Amino acid sequence: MITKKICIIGDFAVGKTSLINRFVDNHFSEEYLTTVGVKLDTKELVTSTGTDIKLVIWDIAGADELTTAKRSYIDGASGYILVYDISRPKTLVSATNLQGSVVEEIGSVPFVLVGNKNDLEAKAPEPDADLIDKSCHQLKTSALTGDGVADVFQALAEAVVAG
Amino acid sequence: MKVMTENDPAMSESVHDFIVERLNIAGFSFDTEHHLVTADGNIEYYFPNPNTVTSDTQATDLFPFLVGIDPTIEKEFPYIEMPNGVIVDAFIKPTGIGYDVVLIDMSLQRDKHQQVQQIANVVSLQKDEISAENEAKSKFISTFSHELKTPLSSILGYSELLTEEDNARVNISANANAIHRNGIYLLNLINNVLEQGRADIQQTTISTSPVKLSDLLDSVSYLVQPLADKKKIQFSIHYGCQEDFVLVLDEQHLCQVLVNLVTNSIKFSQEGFVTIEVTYADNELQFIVSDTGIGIPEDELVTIMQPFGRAKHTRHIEGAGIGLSLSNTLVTLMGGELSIQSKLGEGTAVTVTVPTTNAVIASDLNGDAKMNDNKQILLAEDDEDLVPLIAYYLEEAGYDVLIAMSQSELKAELANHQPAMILMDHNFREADGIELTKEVLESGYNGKVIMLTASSGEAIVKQAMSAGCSDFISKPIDREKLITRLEEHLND
Repeated sequence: MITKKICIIGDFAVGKTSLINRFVDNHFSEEYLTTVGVKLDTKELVTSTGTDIKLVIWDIAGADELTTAKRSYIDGASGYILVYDISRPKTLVSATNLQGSVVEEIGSVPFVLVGNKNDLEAKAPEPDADLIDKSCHQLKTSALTGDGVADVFQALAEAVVAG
Repeated sequence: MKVMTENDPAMSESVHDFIVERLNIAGFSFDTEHHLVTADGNIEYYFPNPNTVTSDTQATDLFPFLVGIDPTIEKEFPYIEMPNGVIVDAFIKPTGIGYDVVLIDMSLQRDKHQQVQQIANVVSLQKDEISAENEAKSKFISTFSHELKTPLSSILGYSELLTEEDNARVNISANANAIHRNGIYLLNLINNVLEQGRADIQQTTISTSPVKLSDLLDSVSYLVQPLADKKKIQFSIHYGCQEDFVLVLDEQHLCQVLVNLVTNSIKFSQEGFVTIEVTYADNELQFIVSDTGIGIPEDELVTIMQPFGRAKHTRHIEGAGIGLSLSNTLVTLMGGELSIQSKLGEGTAVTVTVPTTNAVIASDLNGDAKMNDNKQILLAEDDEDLVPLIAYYLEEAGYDVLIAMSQSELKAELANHQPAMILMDHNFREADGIELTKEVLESGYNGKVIMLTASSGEAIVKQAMSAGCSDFISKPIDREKLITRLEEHLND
């Protein structure tokens, strides 16, 4: 089994922790509890090519920019999930900025672009073609219903293994 | 627990123990192969099971945060919540023969930090919500202003033409029709906005009464036919059941729904036809409003059901975007369902199903109706423009009309006549129409009082009924409805 570090980043309250809770524990809480610092979780997967992979998931506190502390958190990540909230257009702007900062910090590694809260009315526009092109996958999810959540982690695991 | 201790000789053991215990400090040394060499400090705080920490233990098994990290470079990770829930500041320090990992418990600090950050984030979210609401309000006001100004411009323009002294070249009938058509459009728009406002605060109440099916659809036709005529679209109603069925329905809201749907069909059609097909079976009334219009893409069917939602390809066409969502809300409140089938470029069919009661034939109900010989009606209304208009409607329908434009005129007319009915303005000059109704009835008047009101609140209707009114009629006055309602009450 190979073990890889992945990060989940995005503005605050876009549902990063909820996505992980849904994926790791199949659980969702309506209560909003902001993440401070970083929370670690692990989950094992098998890729479509049969590779066993253990993901060490870094749930990094949400913000619209990558502060110094957060830059240290993404060090050594093999991939990341870039999340925005489809009901809050400004979170897509934050996601775009964060993606640029991550590349500055650790170079180009695979990422999945995720529009979360798909159960709500979409107010954010579709992401720029440039951002979509850079991502290895673009998906819409709902941590509330679980829709698309496993696909996000599976897609990133496949991309990380493929190198 | 101390696995192996290398005390600083400069520090007494008691001081060392105090710091370790107070800060829950633990240090772990690994060799270049990532095997644990030594561990010191409050290790059991982080790893209660002593078998977890042995010399065979790999660094990443103990500390998943080391995965992907180069430990030959000094690092600091603040506020890491470990999988077991413990919150630490983690320091990685290269030693030349491996590296050390030092943990300091930060649970208390992190909790305090979290409380502050939580408040900041929630406030920021609330600010965003308020800002989004304000933006939506501004957008609504802008759209609504535009929607109001367009028909108003036509009404003012055509009415100005009619007032010109030298109007020999003016087509009076066409101009009056244009004014009427735009007035209807305006009325429907205002009704939709008021109803949407009530629905938003959950104050819409469904009020049912026996309604003759053809009367309901005649009202719809009366309101939408001028719009269809203007666009040269053929509008028709097809009955799949008896026209004179009487059913218990919320006439006002059902009429509003059908007018909204037909208006949309006309608005989004360039040619062809718009039809209403009505059927009744098993205490369920079904209307299908079909058109040969531009249609709706499948992926936009959800959007157009939202308040102010517009399909992208229709944004050049005027409209506030509330008719369909409001209709859906009203139908749901009536216990019914609204569904849409549409094909882009081919047309749309909206199906409305509402529950009702057993249908009764209207002629069966009217068998015992008595004709009232007294055809005198007292119109208590103070609007100088409205009085001659209503009086004209009533006189054309064969009624003898008395007019009172003030409280004293009302009393004088009642002293000399005994009209079969009083049409009482709610906001009557110098007096409240509801209070006047009570006074008139208490003074011995034994005819019927019907309230005329421009107010839309349910509370006013209730007040009018409890004051002794037999009914209420909303302004603007619909001529056909007015006469029908008067006949019903006078023959009751």
